[in-house]
Amino acid sequence: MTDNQVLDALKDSFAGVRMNRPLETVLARGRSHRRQRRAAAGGTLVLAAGLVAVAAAGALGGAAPPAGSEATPPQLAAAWSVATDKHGTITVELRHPNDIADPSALQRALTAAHAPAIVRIGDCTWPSPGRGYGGEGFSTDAEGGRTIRITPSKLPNGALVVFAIDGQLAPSGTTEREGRWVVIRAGVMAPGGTVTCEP
Amino acid sequence: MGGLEEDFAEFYAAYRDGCVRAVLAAVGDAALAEDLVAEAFARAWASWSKVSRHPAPQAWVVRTAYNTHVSWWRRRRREVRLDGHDAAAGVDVDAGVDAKVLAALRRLPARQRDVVVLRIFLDLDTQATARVLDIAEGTVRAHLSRAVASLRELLATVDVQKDGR
Repeated sequence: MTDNQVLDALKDSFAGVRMNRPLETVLARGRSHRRQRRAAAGGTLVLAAGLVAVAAAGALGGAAPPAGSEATPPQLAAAWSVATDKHGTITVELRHPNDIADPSALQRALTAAHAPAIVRIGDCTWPSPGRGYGGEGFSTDAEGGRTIRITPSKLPNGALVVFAIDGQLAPSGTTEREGRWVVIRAGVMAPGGTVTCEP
Repeated sequence: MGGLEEDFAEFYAAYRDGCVRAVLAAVGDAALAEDLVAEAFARAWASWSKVSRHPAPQAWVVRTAYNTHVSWWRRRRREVRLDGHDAAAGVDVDAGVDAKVLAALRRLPARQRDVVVLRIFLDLDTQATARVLDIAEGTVRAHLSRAVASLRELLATVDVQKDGR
């Protein structure tokens, strides 16, 4: 087989794979992103500004909770938990993600657990560790990923786990008008990396 | 449909299948690939005035999908999915592609796989691939050559098996 024949054969083998998502669904989702951005520009997402300060402090080595911080409200305790086992593995369980009303409380809990983790709000991106990184020190449970385990000693030196929480209104014109979407993305960021978020 | 939306619709129609195939080659799960690509296209539409000026917007979509580790929780159904390329993943046997081919593609070093998928699924030439990956054109050719060498034997084997059925 020539090189082109190999590539053609490979391409042909994927011919049955199709993207079935209707354009309208993609457009609606994109409009939702825009609405969130406009709302943020108008100052609606005040929480985002407060959280950045907390996250930055954590990234610099773990600071005390911000002045005026309060005990975790009961609804937050019901929404998630952070626990550390005797081996130093930190387990973050997100039982009811839609009920996360104050992500900064999650940040404080992670900081208190000495988790090298930051919580950000918005549509975020961050650089992943190098190609040689095989996922050590960060895992999710097989069923749905509600449970995240972080073993700081196994993460690349200086790497951080990022939790990006993005609240989304259901796109108009869908059956989910009454529903609220919460998108949480989690992953490991390369040492020295920067999280970039669009609110 | 306005001009921008019409422009995006044409882009979506032209590249949606290629993008999902490219992402499937990396994640090995067809449903996950579709979720990731749909989200990436949505983000492209949300910033279409900028993304449309990208040298290869289809590559932007694939890169965004790769970088998206998404967990979607819906209030009603309480569905959760948190996937990431940091976590080990298997191959979806119902992905619509020969599982051996998909597995072989996924076993390639990431950069070699990037070059292959940009070439065959997104129709980028060597120059465009080099620009998207920020590597030299010679490096693109070297990666492609090594990838093809790795894949040739497997694809020949698969062909033989198919012929023998």
